[in-house]
Amino acid sequence: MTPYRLSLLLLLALTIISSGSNAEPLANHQHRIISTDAGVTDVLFALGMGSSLVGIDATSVLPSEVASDKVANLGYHRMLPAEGLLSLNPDLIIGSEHMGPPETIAAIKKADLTLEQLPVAKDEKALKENIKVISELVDKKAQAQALLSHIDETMALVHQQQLPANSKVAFLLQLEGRGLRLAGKNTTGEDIIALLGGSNIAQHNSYQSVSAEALLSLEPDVIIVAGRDASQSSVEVLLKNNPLLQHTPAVQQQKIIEVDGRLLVAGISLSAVDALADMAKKLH
Amino acid sequence: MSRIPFSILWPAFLVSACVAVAISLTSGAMALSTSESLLALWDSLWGTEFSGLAAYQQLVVLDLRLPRTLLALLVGAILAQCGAVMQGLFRNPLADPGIIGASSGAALGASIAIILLPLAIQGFAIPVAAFVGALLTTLLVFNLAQSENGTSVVMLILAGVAVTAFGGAVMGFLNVIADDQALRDITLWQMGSVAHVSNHSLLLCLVVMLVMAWYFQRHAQALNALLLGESEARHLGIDVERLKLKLIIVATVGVGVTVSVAGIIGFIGLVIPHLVRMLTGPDHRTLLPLSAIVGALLLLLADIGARLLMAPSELPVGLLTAVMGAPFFTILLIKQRKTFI
Repeated sequence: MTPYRLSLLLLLALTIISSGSNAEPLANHQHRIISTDAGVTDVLFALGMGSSLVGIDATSVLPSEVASDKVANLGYHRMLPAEGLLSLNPDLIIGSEHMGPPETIAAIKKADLTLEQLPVAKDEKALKENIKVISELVDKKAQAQALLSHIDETMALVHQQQLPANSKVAFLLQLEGRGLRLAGKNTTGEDIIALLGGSNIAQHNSYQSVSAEALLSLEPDVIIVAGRDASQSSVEVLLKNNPLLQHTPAVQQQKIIEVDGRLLVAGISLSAVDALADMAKKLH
Repeated sequence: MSRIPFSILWPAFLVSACVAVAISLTSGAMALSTSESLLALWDSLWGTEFSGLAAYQQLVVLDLRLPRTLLALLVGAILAQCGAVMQGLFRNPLADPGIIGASSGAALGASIAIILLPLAIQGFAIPVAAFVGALLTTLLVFNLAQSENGTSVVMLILAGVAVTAFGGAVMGFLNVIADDQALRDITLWQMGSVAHVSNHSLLLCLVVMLVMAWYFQRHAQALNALLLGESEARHLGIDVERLKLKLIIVATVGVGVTVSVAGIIGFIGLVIPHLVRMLTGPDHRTLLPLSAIVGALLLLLADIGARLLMAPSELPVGLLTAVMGAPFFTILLIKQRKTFI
């Protein structure tokens, strides 16, 4: 390569890169909210604040009627880009306790933006607390009341349909063709088992890989399968891939059910409450 | 290929780097006027008030873009020089800090910190663990390669392969017991980023970069002599063993520092010295400073891309250096094929 060609190439690269930076200037609305937690995003839509949402994290799911190009995706909630956040010109940022990195949090604070970091809910009480905080922030206390009573009613149903005492429950993440992961301590899977009235058969921390044989030896009375693909039955796939599981008490008594794993990424959220009622009904 | 005189190249690349710095300060997810952004920098330097940017916009230029620009320059310069020294030392065009286990040791240290230590102290612990991991693996590899006959380059590389494989296995085990969040943290960390900058890390990189550049430059002639072969270098009066040990340790410290502040950023250390060698020739007196400038320039360009391509979200810059570096490296290799046969 001659020096002239090289410098030309360099100049070209610089021009291309600099021309890409002219983003559209932002118009000012009353409310510009960024949510960096799937559960918070759920609550904001339920409170009717969806149209004020300008940015979400990678785990948040937008309702199908909202065009995804209207709301910017900021990526993984523990690696949020500081300038990306500020560029959306938000007046309110709500996320979970896991929001990060610290440099981004520091920049948000320095820019004098309102930031609320909520604890990840492990039960309905914590979820209701979070909803109250969010509704106060966006001035929608009346709408929150309806949500809170919906949670109370749904959870009352769940409490009426508790599993028999000492039911041994296995909460499985179904990974397509790559085995099974069993929910251990400090997981949303364990929180769900507790809310359904059962006890977790797993003694380890977080999610760990298990074999069908190990699962069989644990003799679960109930198996909950969290799949990621809603288009097919996770239970069918599980039993097809692991025929051994036919011999567990859970399958023999038909106490094996599935839940959409994507609803559970943010702990006990609004969608998880509805999923819980559904599971309790099926297991009763 | 005709070589270009150093006296033309270094000003050309220095000017390009300055242009890249200006672009870096004026572009990002937030649309700010170019002149106002540069004025904000002027204001903060000289205490004037020319810029019309709002306080939070000045924050973007001065607190977010400026530090990451500086960090990208420093990390790029350090990595490219370490790569040039390693390649000269091992007389192996594929040598980069990864080959003697430094990167894998750093990755292992960081993974241990991410998985086993509580979240609260990770911000401090991850860089330290990465640095310690890099240093320990390099010293181990170096020890393995030593015998009464001196340090064997082949043994050094083989020991590097073994230690890297072992580190990979331990990391695999850590991945199995990690929860999903830690897994995602590790994956992202391994792709590197210059977005998270503190004043401490900037100062650390600056000092390392200056001391390292001075130290390497002092040994440039010895590295040139080593190009002739180890015994020839010995005949020229160079203590080859001491030279290797000193330079490897300094290069590992350099790489360890960059990994600890920015994660693993590949290909800069491998590609830049090659590119520069093709432009000016293998003389380390010009190769080292030019590698520093070109490395800084290229990592900064990659970081600008990382910021803009998916704005307002960001890509890890290590991903872009690999995407830019790998095909570029392949083209260089194809062009130079006959020299390798």
